[in-house]
Amino acid sequence: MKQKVDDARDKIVDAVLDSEEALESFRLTYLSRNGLFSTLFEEFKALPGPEKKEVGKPLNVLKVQAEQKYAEAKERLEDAKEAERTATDDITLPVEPSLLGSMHPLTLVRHEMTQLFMRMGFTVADGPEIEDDFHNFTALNFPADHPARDMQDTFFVRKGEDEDHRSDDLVLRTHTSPVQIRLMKDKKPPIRAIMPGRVFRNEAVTYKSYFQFSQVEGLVVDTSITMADLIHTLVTFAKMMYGDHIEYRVRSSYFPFTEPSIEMDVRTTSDAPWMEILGAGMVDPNVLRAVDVDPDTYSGFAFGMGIDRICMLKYGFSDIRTLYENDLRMLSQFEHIGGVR
Amino acid sequence: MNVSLNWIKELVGEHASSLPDVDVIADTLTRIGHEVEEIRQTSPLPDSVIIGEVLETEKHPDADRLKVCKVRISKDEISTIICGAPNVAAGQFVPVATPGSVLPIKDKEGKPLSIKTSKIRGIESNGMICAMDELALGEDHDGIMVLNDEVSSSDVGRPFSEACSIVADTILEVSLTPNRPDAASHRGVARDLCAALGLPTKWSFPSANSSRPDNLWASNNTQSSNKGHVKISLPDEQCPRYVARWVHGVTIGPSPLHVRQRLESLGLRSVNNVVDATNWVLHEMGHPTHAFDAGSFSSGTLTVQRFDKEVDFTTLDHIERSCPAGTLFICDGDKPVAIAGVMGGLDSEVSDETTDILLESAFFAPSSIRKTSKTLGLQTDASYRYERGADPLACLEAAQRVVELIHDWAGGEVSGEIADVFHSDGLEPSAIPFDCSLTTRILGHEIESTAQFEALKSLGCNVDESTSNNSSTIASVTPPSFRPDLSRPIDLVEEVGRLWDYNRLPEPTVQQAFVPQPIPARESYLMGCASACMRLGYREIQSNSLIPKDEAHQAIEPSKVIHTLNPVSTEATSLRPTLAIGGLAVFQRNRNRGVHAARCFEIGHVYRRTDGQGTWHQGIDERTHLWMGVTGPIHEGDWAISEKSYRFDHLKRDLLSVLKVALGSTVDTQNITFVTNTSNPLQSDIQAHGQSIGTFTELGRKERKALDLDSPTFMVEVDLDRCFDVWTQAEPTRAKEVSKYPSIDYDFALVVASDVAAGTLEAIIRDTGSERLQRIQCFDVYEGDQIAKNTKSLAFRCTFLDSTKTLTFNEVEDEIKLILNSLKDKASAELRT
Repeated sequence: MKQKVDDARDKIVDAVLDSEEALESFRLTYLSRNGLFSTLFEEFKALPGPEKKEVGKPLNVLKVQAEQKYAEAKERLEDAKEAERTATDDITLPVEPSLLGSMHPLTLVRHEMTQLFMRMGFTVADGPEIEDDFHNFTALNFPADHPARDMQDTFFVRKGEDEDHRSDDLVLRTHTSPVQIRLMKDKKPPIRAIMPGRVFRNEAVTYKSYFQFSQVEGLVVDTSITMADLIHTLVTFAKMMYGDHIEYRVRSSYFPFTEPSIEMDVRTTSDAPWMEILGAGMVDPNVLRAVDVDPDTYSGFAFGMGIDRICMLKYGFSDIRTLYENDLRMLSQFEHIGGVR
Repeated sequence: MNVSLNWIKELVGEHASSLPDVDVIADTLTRIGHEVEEIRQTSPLPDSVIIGEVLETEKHPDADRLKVCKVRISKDEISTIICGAPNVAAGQFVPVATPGSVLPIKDKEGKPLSIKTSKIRGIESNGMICAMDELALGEDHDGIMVLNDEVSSSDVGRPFSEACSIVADTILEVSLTPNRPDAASHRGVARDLCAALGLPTKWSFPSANSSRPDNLWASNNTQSSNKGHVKISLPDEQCPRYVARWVHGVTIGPSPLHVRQRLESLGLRSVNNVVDATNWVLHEMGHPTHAFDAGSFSSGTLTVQRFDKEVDFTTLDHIERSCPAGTLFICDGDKPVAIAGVMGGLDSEVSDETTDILLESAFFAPSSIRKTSKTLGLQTDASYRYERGADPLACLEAAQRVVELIHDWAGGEVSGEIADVFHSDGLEPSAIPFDCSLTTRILGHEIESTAQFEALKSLGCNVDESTSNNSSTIASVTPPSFRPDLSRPIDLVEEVGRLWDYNRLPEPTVQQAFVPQPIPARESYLMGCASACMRLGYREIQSNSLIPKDEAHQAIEPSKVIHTLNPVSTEATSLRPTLAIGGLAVFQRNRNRGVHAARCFEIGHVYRRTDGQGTWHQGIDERTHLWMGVTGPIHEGDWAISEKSYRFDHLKRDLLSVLKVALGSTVDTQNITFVTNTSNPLQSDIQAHGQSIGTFTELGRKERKALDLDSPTFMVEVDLDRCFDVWTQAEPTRAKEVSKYPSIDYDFALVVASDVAAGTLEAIIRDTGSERLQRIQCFDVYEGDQIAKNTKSLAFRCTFLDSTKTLTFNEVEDEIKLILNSLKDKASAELRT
């Protein structure tokens, strides 16, 4: 018996387990139910006591040794197999990235601007793109037949299908200011809101003008709102939008719905040309009266800026038409910009 | 408007030397509301362009059109110069560019033209006799400039620019705001500039001082005038003032060179010495005047009137215009001679034969001129100013200035007779009660009342402080007649503010406390829907709201389409009734540029007429839609992805995911159904709990062909306004506990008739199953030889889960039996074996 164990040990030690076949053969020969160890343990059971004592320990050690050898060899073979790569395991095979989706650059800029104003406590208001004369003009202190209406080339829309009812004509809103009127009619001050949205001007399509574009306007009405508050708000916005280092200047301007009216220019360095970024002013008393807000108690400021223009500056578009062309190769350049929600 | 810096300096007069340099002037004008968009220098002429005298000319022996000229270029120096101009002749004084001169125009290579001695057909030419355009003084190239009116023989050899007072100038291009008609002149710009710089303002003109009467308004109401042998009566309230002057015996000809040069440098066309005089005064002091050929008047009566009928009238630009009834005319008797305030007539135009001038200097009601200008589509320098509001008090002064200039430039005798018919009622500016504390309230900074009053005075306002009893901050302010924009205290605040400079306003020391208001749910809702599309790999597009009419008509019932009355082009006539048109146009454009694969979405407004109430305006439905579309290969040429092009289920999956966001927790995906349109099997109605929320469309073969799309194309359009209404009913999201017990899947395959919709089977399974039935999936669809003809096989997997215990297989089998019985009863579905 001892001799059998010794012989087995020699064979086990010498066994070369370098293939699946050799490994399986080893398992069948020694470790399986009909393998050598089963046989030896059967014989061991039949041995008399003293001999049992002599053989027992080496036999157990040998079995553990065989099992270890088998396990190690199996692990080694599986490692080797895993390291072998097929043609479709080739990581260098080219693939297209998964579809990521993207927001339109105008949406990105509108969202960025909206976020900045929300941080300054503004809410967001909304209204229709087809408007009536009252909301788009009259309530905003554009008298009928006034040259100021020429500032905004207007698309007209007939209210009914009846060709004769021209006096009921509607317009495509030329600015988002009508939303200010709706807001002030709905709600008494304090008001602190922005109104982003699409607007229309009857202008020929060129590299710098398009018949539609987007605006963000803002309105603040409360007791004791001043021009100083307005400029402070605009400068705070401009610094967040364009960087802390920008220079700005405020100049007098004219809009029918504000008095006094201003425009603001910014530039990034003192030798760069000024870029006009917005128009603004103190809400004209006539506008406040048109929505039943007492101008002797309340004052307010309003501002408006073009999203398209800011978008073009920010992303380096030189032709506004590109924004509405929706060439997917252009739009795909914005898919790495995340964080819109 | 172009502004000449030289002219501004002349008007500022003795204080011109205090003016800062041009950049500061431009910045100042921009700051106070007259934005300077461009600054450019007129081209200076080199001193080597001199005055020459043509002594003799003879034909070039080898060239028919050229002449060989002997030109005296200094006291005792005579040059030979070859000249091609037809008008060159002995005895002329002419500008000569001597060799070495570099002229302010470009040669063929685009470089400044350099004059050299050269041989022309064998004869040496020592310089060039110049035409107007060659000296950048105008566009005239018909012949050389003849300077006999400007210079004499003692000027020969002197630099041309010196002898003819041609000076280099700086032109500022100023963008005017429509509220400031007074600034549409050099005087207006100079006045604002001086006020901003704190310089005393010079009001009047070198020679017009005497004509400014003391009493400008009152007792001047006159009904008619009989001066100058012409009876002038004003029955029309739209012409409150009409001043006429006469100049007799004028000689019409070109204006002096420096006049032409200045007008040209401002981009104006020099016409003749009389018309130029009116233009000169228009740009100098902003008041329009009109010179008639007095000889063309025959009736002895001048009237300003309107007609009850349309009038055909030929204006001096040789265009016959149909002027609608009610157009205001200047008439000789009853014969129109000018469209009042807009343009004169051809018949009474000043021509070369004119000897007597009737000069009009009037004031017309702004609304009348605007109406005429708009209906005729004719805006002139005069109508621009009249419709914004001219100065009724400027009429006399402007007329005086013009007749003096006519006298200087065209000779003749200025008649001492002055017709002035003036209905001043209601024109005089009212005094504005002004409390300086309003400025503090609006600007947020206190400016001393004395500084405020000084600013207003510097702009020509009369400030009467005597009205205030105990406070020095209240005054009665009367604006000048040339500022129709000033009528309210707030207007005065702006004047003070813009001169004081808003940039000096200090930061508010106390920040206004505000309570942030909640963001409307709709704002974040729309952004959430857009984000959901983006999460699924869709690209946002923004297409046009205005589309071609025929495409809109194809999309919906034509009577529902809304058109603009004044389209910008045939490509943009109608408001989009659906987003699909723009989306598919994007697909087509990209396809034609070689981009075949597209996966896009858009959120935007669509517009239709409705018989109903409408969304914002009666009869007009304006709604927010979401469009999603897919076309082309999913992943072009990818080695691992076997699906090469889109199937309907790709978009359906994505839509269901987006609807989770768009409808919120109120609607389970299982409650969204697709009802096929009976007349169009490629289109289905998307319903949530039975309510229609949108349309699912597969593009047909022909539609795809028309759009050059060669791959299967699918799109959905969803009404987000309806979805939002559903969404707002959702309960706030709360975390629900998940079951600790395992679920059991049960698979079975059914055989049904081919025309039984899968959705029908799914609905039966759901309706029969208990609340333990968590999920129904269809994992196989089969049609073919292994089953009977006109049948199909669908394999379903039902997942059961109990939140209180581990389910046994027997319990699930009991449920399945019920489900299979129900399927057999309601859809004749057999278990496939």
